[in-house]
Amino acid sequence: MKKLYVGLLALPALALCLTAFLPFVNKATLWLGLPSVMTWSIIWVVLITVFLALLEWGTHHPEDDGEISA
Amino acid sequence: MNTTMVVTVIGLIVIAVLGFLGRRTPTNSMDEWTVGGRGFGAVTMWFLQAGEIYTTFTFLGMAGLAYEGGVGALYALPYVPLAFIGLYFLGPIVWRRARDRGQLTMSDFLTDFYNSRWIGLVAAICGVVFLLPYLQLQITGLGLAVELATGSKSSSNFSMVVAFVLTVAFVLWAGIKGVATTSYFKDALMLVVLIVLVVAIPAHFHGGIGPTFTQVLHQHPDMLTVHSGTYDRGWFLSSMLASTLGVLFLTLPHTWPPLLSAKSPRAVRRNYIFLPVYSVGLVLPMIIGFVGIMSLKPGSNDNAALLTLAGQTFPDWFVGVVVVATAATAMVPAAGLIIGMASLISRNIIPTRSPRAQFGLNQGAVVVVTLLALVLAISRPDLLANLLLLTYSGLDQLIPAIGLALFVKRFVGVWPVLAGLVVGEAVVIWLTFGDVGFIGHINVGILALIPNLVVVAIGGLIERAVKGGVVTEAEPA
Repeated sequence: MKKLYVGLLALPALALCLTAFLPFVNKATLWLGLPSVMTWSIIWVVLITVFLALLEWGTHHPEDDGEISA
Repeated sequence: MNTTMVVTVIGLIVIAVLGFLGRRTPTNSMDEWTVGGRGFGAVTMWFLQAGEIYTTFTFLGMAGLAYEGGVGALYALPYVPLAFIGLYFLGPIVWRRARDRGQLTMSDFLTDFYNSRWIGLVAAICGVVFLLPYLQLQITGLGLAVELATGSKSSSNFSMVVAFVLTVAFVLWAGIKGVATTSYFKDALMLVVLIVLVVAIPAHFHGGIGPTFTQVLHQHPDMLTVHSGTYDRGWFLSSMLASTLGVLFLTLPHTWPPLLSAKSPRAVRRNYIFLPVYSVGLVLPMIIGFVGIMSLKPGSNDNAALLTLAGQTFPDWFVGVVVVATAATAMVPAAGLIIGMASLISRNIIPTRSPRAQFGLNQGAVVVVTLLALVLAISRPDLLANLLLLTYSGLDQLIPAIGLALFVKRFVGVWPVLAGLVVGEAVVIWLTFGDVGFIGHINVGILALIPNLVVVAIGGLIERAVKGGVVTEAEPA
């Protein structure tokens, strides 16, 4: 499961790096009232939080064992 | 003194009082002053690290960049979140090693891993030299905000002096705990102000955010795409990557104290989870920049876009509140920069004989670096402008040194890493100030990393050939 969650993180990295090169994103059009480049970027940045949260709460972290809790 | 200035001065004093409240009694411990005794939980760390996302560059620069380059400004949205993906994994590694070895700065980390004071010294000098213009930028950003809001250059100079005398005072007293308490106020105020601005300004000029972008679509459709020109696709991607790598490898020295102040790896990880969504707020000033495209005269000062539009929309007292928010985004990150720079000077540049002497030197360095940046901001504001061009590109050349130091084993010794760093910096200076046309708009820091890495690799191979292929465990310095 951990490998799946880690793999998911590659998606927003790739999507954000390709923003300016994807013709359906980098065009003069509005998505939800905002420039498509802006909407695309916002969605993928939010998904970084979602995927990191899945990794944090969906897997065990041995490094926390014995450490002081946050 | 007009209403705007009165509100501004009151706001500066409030920020400073909050800074003093960070600590009830003074400390003479570098550990306490720099990283708060490594006792901060996730919430406090959040505000410390969020403070690095929202600076005067955010408030003034993002609106200005969108006004000037349209959606090209959006390169600045993903780079910190992308770096946080990597830091989710790397941050706890750095934190644990720093805690176990008593490290407080980036240079401590490098000195310890490479078992060489030279790399720590060179990295510290790079850190201080390249951060000085960044500190000056915060000061001039605050001054610009006051000047635009009040129309008075003398008010601008007065507010810069007052703001940074207060900042030095609370930094000396409370260190990073002062930065933490001011961060709570700064982020809350900044978000409230940005939300008010992004609702009111588009509504005032064009009937709302949607109608604003509809008008941009019809009248300036090129501003909705990343297209050829200064902010082309090469610039967009290379700027994003250069900034991502710089943040990911912790090349900015002032980002180390907030990380090292955590009390557990869980606190470190949890911050990196939620800070990306917090970064989305960067689009708020960008939206205001788009209003400027439609409402400001062509060729207007791009850094003035947000404040000019605010001045045309709100009464004087609220413009004062906007200036206070801008000041907070200057003072709080500046405090973090000062801590980062002073600790490098006292721990890694100038040797001292005792912890007490080191702390005394540290406090002196706080005053000196701030005074230097303030004097230059007022008397020679353009002097450091060129050096600012080198800040990110120059610090990116530390990536190989820090990246290799994240491993347990030392694959390359200190001399190839130092050689790569020197070559990288030389290439950055050449590409930045030389009349080099072939690079187009590709980020200079990324380009200079290539020869940097080549030199490190070749040096590492030569080293192995000479020493017989030895890969060593990193030994304590």
